[in-house]
Amino acid sequence: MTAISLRALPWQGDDLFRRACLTSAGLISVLMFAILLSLCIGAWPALEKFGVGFFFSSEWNPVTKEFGAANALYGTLVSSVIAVFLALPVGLGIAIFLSELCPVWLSRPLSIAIELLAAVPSIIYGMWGLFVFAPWFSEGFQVWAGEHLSELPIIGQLFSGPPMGVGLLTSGIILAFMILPILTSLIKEALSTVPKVLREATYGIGATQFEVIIKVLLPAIKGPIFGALILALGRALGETMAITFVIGGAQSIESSLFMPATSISATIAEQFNEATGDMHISALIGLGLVLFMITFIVMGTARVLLRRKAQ
Amino acid sequence: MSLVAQLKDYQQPQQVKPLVQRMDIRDLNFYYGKDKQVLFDVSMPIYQNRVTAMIGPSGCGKSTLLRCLNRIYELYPHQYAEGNVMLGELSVLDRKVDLNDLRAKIGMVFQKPTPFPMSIYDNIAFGIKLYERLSKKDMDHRVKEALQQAQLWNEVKDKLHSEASGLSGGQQQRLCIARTIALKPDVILMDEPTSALDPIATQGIEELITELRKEYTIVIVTHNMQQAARISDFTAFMYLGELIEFGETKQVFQNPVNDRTRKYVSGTFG
Amino acid sequence: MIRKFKNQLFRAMCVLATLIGLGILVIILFTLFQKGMAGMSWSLFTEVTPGPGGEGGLANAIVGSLIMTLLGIVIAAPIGILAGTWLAEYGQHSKTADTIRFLNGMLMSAPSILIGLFVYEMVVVFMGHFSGWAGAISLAIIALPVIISTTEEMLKLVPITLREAGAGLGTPRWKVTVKLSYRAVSTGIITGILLSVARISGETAPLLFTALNSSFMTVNPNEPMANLPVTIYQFAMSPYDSWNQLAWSGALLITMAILFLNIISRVLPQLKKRRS
Repeated sequence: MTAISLRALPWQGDDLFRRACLTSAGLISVLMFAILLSLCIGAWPALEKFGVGFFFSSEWNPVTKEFGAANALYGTLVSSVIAVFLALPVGLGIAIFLSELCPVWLSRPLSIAIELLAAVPSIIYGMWGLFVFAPWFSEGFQVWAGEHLSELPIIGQLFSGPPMGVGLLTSGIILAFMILPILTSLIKEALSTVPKVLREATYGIGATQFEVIIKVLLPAIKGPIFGALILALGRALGETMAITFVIGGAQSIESSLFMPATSISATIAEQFNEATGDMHISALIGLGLVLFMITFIVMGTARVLLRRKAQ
Repeated sequence: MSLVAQLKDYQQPQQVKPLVQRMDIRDLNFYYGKDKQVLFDVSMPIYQNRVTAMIGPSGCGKSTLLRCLNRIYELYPHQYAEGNVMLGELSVLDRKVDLNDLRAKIGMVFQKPTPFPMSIYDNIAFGIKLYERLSKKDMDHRVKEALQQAQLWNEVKDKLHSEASGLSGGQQQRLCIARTIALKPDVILMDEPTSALDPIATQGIEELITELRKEYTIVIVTHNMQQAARISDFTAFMYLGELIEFGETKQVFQNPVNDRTRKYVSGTFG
Repeated sequence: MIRKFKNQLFRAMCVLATLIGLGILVIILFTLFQKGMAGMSWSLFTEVTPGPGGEGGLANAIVGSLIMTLLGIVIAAPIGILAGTWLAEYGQHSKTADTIRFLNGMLMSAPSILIGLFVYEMVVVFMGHFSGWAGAISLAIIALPVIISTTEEMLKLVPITLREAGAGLGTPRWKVTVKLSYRAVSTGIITGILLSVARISGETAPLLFTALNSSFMTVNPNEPMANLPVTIYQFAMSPYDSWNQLAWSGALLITMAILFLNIISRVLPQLKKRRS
C-alpha cells in the first residue's frame, strides 16, 4: 500500500462564511429589538407624564402640551376595519372568478393586473383619492346619503354630516383598494389547496357552481380566509401616505363616518417635522409605539393562523 | 440475452496490472439516527484498477455503503458510521481527515447527471481550481484531457463555452465523470450512474467505465445485474444491510456460494 | 329555475368584483396619464424643483431618489442574501432560525413610517441633521426582509443533488453555496432584489423624517436629499398650480418606473426558463 500524502489545503473560508451569514441573520433580531427599544425610549417622557391616560385621552393640543392617543387610535382602527369589510366581498369575488370561473388563459394576465395594484405606491393612492375619488364620492354618494340614509335610525348617524369627500369612510375605501390584491392572492392560494375531488364530487351530485363554491369550497377554507383578513387588517393599520391625504387630519372623534378624522400614521407624518417641543415629539413617538404594538399583535396572529392552516 | 450468455461474451481485457488492494472496508456499521442501523459489520476489499460492483435489492444498503467511502453522508445530520475504512494508510472515517481532500481523492458520480449551472469548460475547471492554480494554457490542457478521457471531447470541443445544461443526458453524465477524473482521484464511486439514461447512453457509459479501469479504481452501485455482469471484475452482493457474498464477478454470477445470492442472480427474488 | 338564477347572479357578482379591481387600476393609471402627461417635458429632467409657484423640473428629486434607492439596495442586498443563506443552509429548522424568520416577517410588515421614526432617532439625531444616508438606511431596512425571504425561498429550491455533486468533488461548503447554489437560482435572487427596488422606490413615509427634502441638486448623501416621493407629497398638498402639475408628472414617472420593474421581474424568470 502506498502512503497517501494529503494535499494541504487551508479552508478557513467555511467558518468565515458561516459567521458572516449568522451575523447578518442575527442583525434582524437586533433591528427588531432596537426599533422597539428606540420607540420605548422616545415615548418615555410622554408615557411618564400622561400615564395610562395617554391611550384613552382624546385631548391633543400642542399649545397646552396635552396629548392623548385616542383620536388617532380611533381613526386608525375604524378606517382599517371599514377597509377590511369592504375589501372582503370584492376580494372573494375576484379570487373566485380568477380561480374557479374564468378561462385559464385569462386568469394569469388578470391576476397580474390585480397584483400590480399592490405595486402602486401609497402616495399615488393618496393623490388619486384626494383629487379624483373624494370629489366624486362627495357628489355621487355623500350628497345622496345625506338625503336618504341620514334619517335612518342608528346607522343614520354614520352617514350624516357635510359631504366633504375626505374623512373616515373615504380613508376606509381607499385602504380597501390597497389591501385588495393581498387579500385576493391569499384567498386564491387557499382555494388552490382544496382538493379537486371535493369539487368533482359535489358537481357530481348535480350542484351548481354557486352551490359548490358557497357550500363546499368556502367552508373548507374559512380558516385561511380569516388569516388573510387579519393580515390585510395589519397592512391597513400601518398605511400612512394614502391616509394622510384623504382622512382630513382632524384631531377629533365624530359619530359620522363622513367627518374628517386622523390616524396614528397620518398624525405622525403631518406633525413630526413641525413638532413644537420635546413633549410633542415624545407623544408622536408614543403614537408610533402604540402602532407598533398593534401591528405586531395583529400580524403575529395572522402569521400563526396562516401557518397553522398551511401545515 | 441470458445472463450466462452475457458472461460468456464478456471479454476479460488483459489484466496487465497485478491485483493490488486499494481500499479496505472493515467491520463497517452505519446508522440513520440512534435507532436505525442500516449496515451491519460489512468487510470487503476494493482492488486497484478493477471495477467492483455492489448489487442487491433496493434498500439493501449498497448505496449507503458507497456513500460511506467518501463520507458524503455527512451532509446530513444524524447519520454516522462506525468501523474502519482504509484508503492506503489513510483512515477515511477518522474525524481529523479533511473531508474536502478526501472527496478529491475519492471522486463520486451520482445517479442523476448533475452538471453545474455554468459552461462545459467551467464545469471541468471548477474542480481543478479548488486545488490548483493553473495558467490558462495548462487549464485548457487539463480540461481537454479530462474530456478526452471521458470520451466527450469530440462532441463538445466546438461548444466548450456554452451551458452544460444544453447537453443530452448521456453527455451530461460523461461530463460529470470528466469533472471527477479531472481531479485525478484514486477511486471513483458511481451511484447507479446509468439509471436515468436511455439504453444507448447507458452503453456509452459502460464502455467508458471499462476504459477508465485502466487508470482508476472504480466502485459502482447498480440495480441492474446485467450491468454488473458486463462491466465489473468483482461483485459484492448485499442484502438487508449485510454483505452476503463478495468475489470475482464470474464466480458470484456462475457459482455463488450463498443460497440467497444464487436466488438473486438467477432472478427468483429481488 | 331559482337555482339557475342564483348561480347566474353569483357569477355576475364575481365578474363585477373583478371589474371593480381592474377598474381601479385602469382609473388610477388613466388619471396619472391624463394629469401627468401635460407636464412631461425635458425641463422635468434638467431643471431643479422651483420655488413656490415658479416653473422648474424634478431633476434634483429624481437624482436624489436614484442615489438613495441605489445606496439602500447596496446596503440591503449583501446582508439580506447572507441572512437568507443562513436561514436556508445553516439555521434550517432550528429554534433560532424559526425566531429569526418570525422577526423577519414582522419587520416586513412593520409600518414603514415606524422605520422612519427609528432611523430618525438612530441616525438623524446622532448626525444632528437630516441626510441622504438616513434616507438610504431607512430604505435598506425596508428592502432587507424582502431580500432575506426571497433568498431563502430560492435557496430551498436548489436540488440536493447539486449540493451532493459539489461536495463530491471536495468543494468546501461555502463554495458550494456561493459558486453553485447562488448561481443555480441567480434569476430568482435578482428578481427578489428588483421587487425590493420597486417597493422602496415609492416609499414616502420613511423618508419624511430622514432624508427630508431639498430644493437643491445634491449628490452628497451627507446633506438632506431631494427625492421624488416627498416632493410629490409636498407639491401635491400645496396651493400652487405649477407645483401640483409637477407632483402629477412625478407621480406618473414613479408609477411607470415601479410597474415596469414589477413586470420585468415577472418576465425575467420566464425568459430564463424558455432559454434553457
